[in-house]
Order: sequence, then structure tokens, then C-alpha cells
Amino acid sequence: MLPQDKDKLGEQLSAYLDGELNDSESAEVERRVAAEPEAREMLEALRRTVESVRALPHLAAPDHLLDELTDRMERAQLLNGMSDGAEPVRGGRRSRWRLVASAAIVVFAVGGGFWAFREMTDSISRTEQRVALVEENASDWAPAETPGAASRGVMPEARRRAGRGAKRGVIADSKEPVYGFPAERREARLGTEVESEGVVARDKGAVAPSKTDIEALRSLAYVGPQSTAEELGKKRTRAEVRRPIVAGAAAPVYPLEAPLEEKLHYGVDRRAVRGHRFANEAMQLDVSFASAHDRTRAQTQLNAFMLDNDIQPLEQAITDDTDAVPPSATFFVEGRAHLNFGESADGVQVLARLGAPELDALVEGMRASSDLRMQLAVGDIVAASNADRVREVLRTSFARQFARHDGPTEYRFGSAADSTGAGGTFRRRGRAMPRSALKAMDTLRPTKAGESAESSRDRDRAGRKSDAPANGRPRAQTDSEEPIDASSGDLTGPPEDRKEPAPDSGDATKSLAADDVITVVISLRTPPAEAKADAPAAPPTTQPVTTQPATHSPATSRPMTRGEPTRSSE
Amino acid sequence: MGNAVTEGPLPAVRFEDAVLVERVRDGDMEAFGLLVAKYQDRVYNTCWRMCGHVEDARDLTQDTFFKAYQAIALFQGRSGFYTWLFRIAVNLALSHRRKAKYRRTQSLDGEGNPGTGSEPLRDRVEDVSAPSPVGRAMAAEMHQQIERALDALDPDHRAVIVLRDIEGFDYAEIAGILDVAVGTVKSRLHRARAALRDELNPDMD
Repeated sequence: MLPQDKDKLGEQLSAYLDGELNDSESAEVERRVAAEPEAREMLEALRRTVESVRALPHLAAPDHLLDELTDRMERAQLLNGMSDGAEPVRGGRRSRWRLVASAAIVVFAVGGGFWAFREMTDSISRTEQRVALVEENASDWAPAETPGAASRGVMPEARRRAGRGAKRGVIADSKEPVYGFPAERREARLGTEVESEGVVARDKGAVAPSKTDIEALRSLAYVGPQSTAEELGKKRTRAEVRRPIVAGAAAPVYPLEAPLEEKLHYGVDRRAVRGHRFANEAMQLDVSFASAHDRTRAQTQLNAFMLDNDIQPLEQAITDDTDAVPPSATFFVEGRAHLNFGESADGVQVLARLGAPELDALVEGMRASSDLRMQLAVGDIVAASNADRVREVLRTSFARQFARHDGPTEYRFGSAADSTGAGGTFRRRGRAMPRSALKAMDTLRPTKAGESAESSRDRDRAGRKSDAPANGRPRAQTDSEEPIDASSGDLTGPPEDRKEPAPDSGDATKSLAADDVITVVISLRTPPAEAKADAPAAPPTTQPVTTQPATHSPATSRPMTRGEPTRSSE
Repeated sequence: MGNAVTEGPLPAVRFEDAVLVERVRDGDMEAFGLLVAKYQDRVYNTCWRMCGHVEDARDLTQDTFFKAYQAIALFQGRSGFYTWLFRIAVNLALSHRRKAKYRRTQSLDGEGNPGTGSEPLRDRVEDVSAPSPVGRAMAAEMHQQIERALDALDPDHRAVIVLRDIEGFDYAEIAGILDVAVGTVKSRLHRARAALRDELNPDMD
């Protein structure tokens, strides 16, 4: 038999075994097999080969596959804006930025010393008492438009297996992956760094700029995928750090020996690497103090707080970082905020990663402090959803503080790198706020579909106007002034920021998800004596400063991206 | 629409893929979960036999469903969903093989992490054809030989073998998955089997 004939016959025999020949072809094969020993031999050899392959065992897919896939998809929803399962991820930097769900950074300086931190931690504790309410109304916090239908119970079976661990909210469950970094990490990192350093550079005269500030902002930009409090409790080896520290399932694993910039490229925090821990926990507070003495005092304060609240530290570690990062002590407080103390050479600094409830509590605690002086800057708004949240905070809380306090105060928001492309500076004293900042402020305002930012602002104004007297606070004295006024010495922010915000001003909070994460950098400074003297003695308030879930219309509510509403008592 | 699913194991009701796909497009992630549950074993086995490693297969399976989820809006419905799904899986596996710089070995007694897909193969392979320990050992040996022979195949040849003899797709389905003509499948399968037979011949004949 010629080779080409043999080849042709073999092909027909193969197809014959598979039942892929028509009747006439099959008849021809059967005739040849019957007549030709070589064909018969070929068929038998082929049959044995096929049967041996078909006898190979089958494996069931790993049990965890669905869970892992669920986690990955949900993470992707946060990272890459896969807000709708029916919609493929689109390219384009701007759209990606807009879709990125990640952290916002708020930077503000607080006078008053570390006792304010105590107030803050107490506030966090108090927040727990509100968690039940928060969770009960969590569905009402759902974004009106985002993240879309895909948020409806991603693979409930997997979620069911996850059990109670799938509670919503940062306090409720620290196992929830909180936020992530966009896949376009390089863009994100560069944008963040540029903005971070820009913030610091512009900050001269208000808050002492320092390398620590830059480091802090850089570290805030770091986001890992899913480290949890439970994982944090474990000692990690470098090898263990390698993979999970990189956000995004498809993200490359960076070499530990890589230069810092390369690591930052992947969103790796230097301290996280050196300390074998992660910095992406939602409730982590990195606290740096000007001196060991201050740090000790704060730690003592924290210990008292933990003791009072029966909170056990999971870990207390001192890391000796020799590369420009000061030594720090780390407390991991189970199920609560993670409080990390660090010592810095030139400032008292608190870095905090807080969920929305904790941020509420923090702000509430600060509002209760009559002699606070603060500087707030939204250094980098990475996520559109968090931009909404940040805007909400600005309008309902911090703006009030600015209106109340004297002294050089400013807050910034937005950045060239954020999803809105907006940025601006508000100064109470000093140079005028550029008009572009007003625009930027509007850009940050969440708007409903088909509604312009301007109309949204008008509505907000109306809401504030009607609600302002109800909160019992005097209007800021700059209410009637022209917002752009370099020489007035008054708050030069937009008029709405100088008015009393309405706690239930409504729409702004509709885009807030309870698991939105606001990353906060708090710089604590001992205020100058004159600043203390200037501080008004406003009475403390315990009124929650932010969202009023009950005001949301259930009709517009959609399930959250993460988890199902769960009462803390469950 | 998915309460019954959320409260217990997946229902015995078989959903048409097209219905589930539409539901996924409408944002129903439960439907996607059903699709995953329906095809994960076959996709996983395909990936496993394509790449030869359970760990890689797990990743590839996850990648497959992840990409399917991402791209489901692009799914036109001209072919069956599973055809489209397996096309993704096979393309990923082929790409994986091309990128592989070296081969790892999977020991039957290797250390593993339970539940993660990295258990020793011995714990995961259920060979009903070899009831006795000796028979199991012989079957295991034979399977190893076949796996080695599969591993030696050209990736395209391996793909048709896996899709036909392991997953049982017919030629038209394989042609759809690989995006080639049926005649190509036929000839490629013949060559693949011939190559496999030659690999196995010293031991099989």
C-alpha cells in the first residue's frame, strides 16, 4: 500500500471509528477491512489507541473553583468596572478610570493631639452600635446606577457556602475584599504618585511636607487583593507575600528584588513588603507620631481603648525598617480597626483606611471636638463611587468644620488622575480658589442619569436651604459672599460648602455603598497655642454626619456589590 | 428567579444554555453560576488534558469562565454556548502551552492541598476499571504512559484528541471549537491518533 493510500485509509478508519462516515464510506471501509489484513490491523491498532485515551480518568473540577471564580469576578467588578456582566470590559483609560472601584484618599490635618485619636477610636467603637442599623438599611444604600445588575448575588451558592462571613460592611466582616486597584496599575500608580507628591508640594505652609507624607500617600495607593484580618494575623514569609500582594488575578508577580518603583508599579507598599503584611485592610490605621514619646502615649491610649472594649490584639509587631521608613508598631485588632503606629521624624500622622461607617464615626468624633483645626485634602479620588462618597463627606461634614474654624484651612479634592479629571483647591484663607475648582466640585457631585451636575447642585442647594435651620447650627458667616474672593480671607469654596449641609440631602448618598472604602490620611499636629485660642467652643455633637439610609427610596435601591444585607445579630 | 438556587444545591432542572446566557446578559449571576456548574467539570478536564497539570488546569478553567463572563456580550449565539466556551478554553490552553518554558511533573504521591486541586492525583483519580491494587497500579502506569504520549503530541493534535476522545465532541463540534473545517478535524485527528499510536506502540502492541 502506498504511503498516501495508507494515509487516506487511516483517515477513513479514524472517522469510521468515530461514526463520522456516511453509509457508502462506511461500507467501503468495512469492505477493505474485511479484504485487507493490513487495513484490519490498522483498524485494531487505532481502536486500541482510541480506547486507551478514552479510558483516561476524569477529574471533577476542584471544589473551590466556583468560590475562587466568584471572588475573582466580584473583585473584577471592583477593579475593572465589570459593573454589568453583560458588558465586556472596555478599553480606554478614561473609561477604565471611571469604572475603577477603589479608594479615595482624604488628607486632613487635625490639631489637638492624640487625644483626638482617642476620640476617633472611641467613635469607631460607637460606630459598631450603628452597624445593625447600617446593615439593616444597607440595601437602601445601594447605588442607583452602579454597579448594576451584576451585583445581584453573584453565584449565590458560592456565597451561601461562604456563610456568615459574607456579611456586608467593613465592620461586619473584614474578610470581604474591600477594594482593589485597577488593572491598569501603571497609570494608576503614576497618577497617584504625581498627585500625591503634588499635594505635598503644594502643602507647604499648611502642613509640613515631608517624605513621610509622600510615603504615606504612596502607601495609601497600595491596594492588595483580598488580605483579611485573619490572614493578617498570620506571620507571612516573603514567599507568601509574593502572589497575593499583587492586585488583580492576572497581575504579574513582581520580584522581591525589583526596584521600589517597579514594586510601586504593581501597587506594592514598601512597608507592606518589608513588614510582611498588607496595607489594604479597610480599617487599618497607620499612625505615625513625631516622637517615640507621642507614640507611646498613643499606644497607651489605644491599649486602654482596647481594654475598655474587650478587644484583643491579634498581633503587636515592631518592624525595623531601615530604608527611610520609620519603625512602626502594629496592632491588629480583631474585627475592628487595624491600628498601626509608626514613628515619623517630622510630623504626627495617622494613615487610616476606613470603611464608610468608620469614616462616619471618625468625622463624628472630630466634630465633637470643639478645638479641632483641620486641613482636608482629597488627594486622589480613584473611584467614581468613592468620589461620590468623598463629596458627600465634604459637603455634609468637613465643610461645616471649615465654616466653624479659623486658621489656615484648605481642602483639596480630585486630581488629574482621578476618574473625573477634576481637581481643585479650596482655601479658607490665602489665595483664592480657582474657578476650575468649582467646576471640579460639581464634577464630583453624583448626578442621576440625564441630570446635569448643575441641576443636581441646585437641588442640593435647595435641600440644604430647607434643612439648614433644623440642625441648630448657625450658618457660616460667609454664606452670602462671592465664592471667588482672594482677599476676603473667608472661605472661598462654593457657596454650598459654606452652608450648613443637610444630613439628609438625599441624592448624594444614593450612590454610596456601605462597603465603599475611603482611605484617609490624618495628620495630627499639636496645634499652635494661638490656634487653640482661636478655636471655637462649639458643642460636641453626636449626630451622625453622613448617610441617612432611611431617606433612600427603596424603589431605587439595588443590591450591593458585596454580600447580602445582613444584620449583625445574625 | 433564583430563590430556589440560593437556598440549596443546584436544582435538577436543566436549563437551556441560550436561556441562561440571556439571563446572564440581563445581569443574572445565578444563571452564570448555573452555566459554570454545568460545564466546569468538562472544561476542567479539557484544560487538564490539554496542559497536563491540575494546577494549571484549575487556573485555565477559572480563566475560561472569567473570560466568558467578560465577553458574553460578544457571544452571538451562532454556535452553541458550550462550543464558544470550549473555544475559549482550548485557546487558553493552547496559549498556555506555547508560553510554557518548561514542563513540571505531577507526582502521584506529590504533596497537595486538599480542595485546591493540588491533591495527590491518587486521591482524585477514581479508576473503577481496576479494582485491585495491582490492577490500579497497572492502570495508573498505563495512564501515565498515555499522558506522556499525549504530552508529546503537537498542541493542535492534542486538542483534537482531547475534544474527541476525552470530551466526546463530534467532528462538527470540534470544528466549531477550533474554528477549522470538518475535513481538517478529520485529517488532524487521524494524524494525532497515528502519532499517539506510534508513541504508545512499544508498550501497547
